[in-house]
Amino acid sequence: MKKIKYYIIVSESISLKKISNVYYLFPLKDFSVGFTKTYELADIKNDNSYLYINRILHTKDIEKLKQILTKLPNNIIGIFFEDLGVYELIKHMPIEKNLYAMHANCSYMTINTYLKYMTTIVVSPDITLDETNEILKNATKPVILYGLGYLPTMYSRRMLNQNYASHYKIASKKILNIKETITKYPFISVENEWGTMLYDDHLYCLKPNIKSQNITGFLINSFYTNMDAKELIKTFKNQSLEHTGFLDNKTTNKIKEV
Amino acid sequence: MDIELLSPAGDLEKLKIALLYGADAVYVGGYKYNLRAGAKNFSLEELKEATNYAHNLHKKIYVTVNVVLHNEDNKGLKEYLYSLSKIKIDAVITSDIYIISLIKEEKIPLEVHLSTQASVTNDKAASFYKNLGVSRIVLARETSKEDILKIKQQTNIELECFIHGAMCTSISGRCIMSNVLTNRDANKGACAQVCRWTYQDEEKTFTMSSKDLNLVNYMEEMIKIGVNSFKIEGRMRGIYYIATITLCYRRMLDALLNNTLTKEKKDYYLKVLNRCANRQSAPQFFNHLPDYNDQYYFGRNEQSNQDFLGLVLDYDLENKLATIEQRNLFQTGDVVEFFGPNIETKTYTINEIFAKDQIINRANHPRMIVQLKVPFKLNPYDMMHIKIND
Repeated sequence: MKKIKYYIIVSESISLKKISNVYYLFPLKDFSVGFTKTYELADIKNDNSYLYINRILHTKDIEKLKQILTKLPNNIIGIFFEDLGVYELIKHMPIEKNLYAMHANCSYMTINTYLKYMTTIVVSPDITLDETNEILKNATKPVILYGLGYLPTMYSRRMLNQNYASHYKIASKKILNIKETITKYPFISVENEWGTMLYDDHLYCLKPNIKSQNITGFLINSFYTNMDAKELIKTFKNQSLEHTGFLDNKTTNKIKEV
Repeated sequence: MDIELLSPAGDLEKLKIALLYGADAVYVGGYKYNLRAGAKNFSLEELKEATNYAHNLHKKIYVTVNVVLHNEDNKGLKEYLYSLSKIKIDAVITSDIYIISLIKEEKIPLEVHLSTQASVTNDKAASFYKNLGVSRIVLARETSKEDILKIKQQTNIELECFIHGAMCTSISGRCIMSNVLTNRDANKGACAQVCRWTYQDEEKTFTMSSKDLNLVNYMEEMIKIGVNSFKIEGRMRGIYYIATITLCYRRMLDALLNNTLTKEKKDYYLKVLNRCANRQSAPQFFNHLPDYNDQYYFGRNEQSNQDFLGLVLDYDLENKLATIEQRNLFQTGDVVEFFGPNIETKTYTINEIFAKDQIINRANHPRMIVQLKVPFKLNPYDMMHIKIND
């Protein structure tokens, strides 16, 4: 049986120790949003590392990234990205091309089309368990599932925390813990100079019993968890967390159905 | 130089209004696969009628097939695309790569425009989609002037830009706040606009709502850097909004292309646009990163707009009697304006209101039919609104 891989998005809590089947994804400085710590190539020492680029990029960013990629060291074996402009830059490079389009990879049709270009993709966590299983059944290549972490709920190019602070003339914070006023539903609003990412303030965990030969591995986002890699994997394997996002909760597009 | 003015149409009546008021093309949604589940939308029969209507005027119609696909959407999708091609719509607007590749692989005779949901803001992403066979890209609203110029230079693909209307706080398609808070799927057309709701931290309450987009002052620059189509947002909006916004942009665009757009004219149209939208607007991302001035922070700020007083149904040239369908209260003594695609905006004071052979002082029943003695010629679909001072 093949070994399942764990792709861990690195944050302050990760000690970067070498662990079997664990691969680290480093949010690249100036090319990622929703993190309080990002990394330059020189900071990345681990073998078999990935860059993580989740920004929508502007033309100037593309030029800058092109320059960075000319100096890509051998310990970087691939890039997880959201913007297809990145694919155009790396399509001829001998590295993994892994698409992590946060809210777009919701069907096996879409995923299989992307898999013609990509090494693999991350299945969107916005869908139900049944939908996920149907994707696994029909995917033409093994895919990655979002295993554990806070789920991104909004990515804005705007400086939402800073704008709010400027409006009220109060000190701006990089991380704001906010609640919707009626439901009291909590979110984490994380800002850097490239925009704002809102996360659902419940630690999400994929449900047990997802087993398929079509899984390359699980993505784990360590941001805001204060857990090291081993603890994250243990939490994921125990699947003791109750927040399972949309796995049992199919969304609707007909208002009358709500 | 042909610059397209592209207006929204949530139903057949709005489509006719948009085209009559000067749109070169309209975009609409069918009953399925479109991101405005709350609009009335179009059945295949209505799409056929709408396409014929547009084509008879030598204008175009684009159909949105722009949801994020889920597995169950596969059923009937190919057949739907074939149906659209048989109707001979001018293009589909989509962001899902499967739909693009399905159209190309099956050789379904449909032109494909890439939806803004794909969030293209750079030339490399534009190249990727161009290589897939997309003929036009609807750029992300976050695209800057420099981005547009570079994309055009590197790809020479047709570019469509939103020029007016509501904005998402998020980058389009990168938000599931509505899904989380209401279970209504934003990427399947049921967004509950929860960025306009209020949030709180330990200090204050606030909304994250963006002010609207308005690029009136940058139209000339947009044309110079290669924008081919100016798009107006608002498939959920009413006929008055569609007519007013479309007509303002039609007249500004024509004047711009004829070198007759004066500052005075532009200021007047800006006033009309701002009043009609009843939300504040800004150029947003075109020339700078929006800051705190470009957002709202307190609940819903919209004032109810009761400017739209009546729709002209008919005009009796002999007796100079206009038949009007009331849309908001008006009464004798009111100073109003008539506007329409084929008339200059004209001021008029209401002296008498005729209703079923009676003279009344107030037209106060919704959609009541009345007649006014108007000394100048009007046409069906002209509109009457309160006077907007110039």
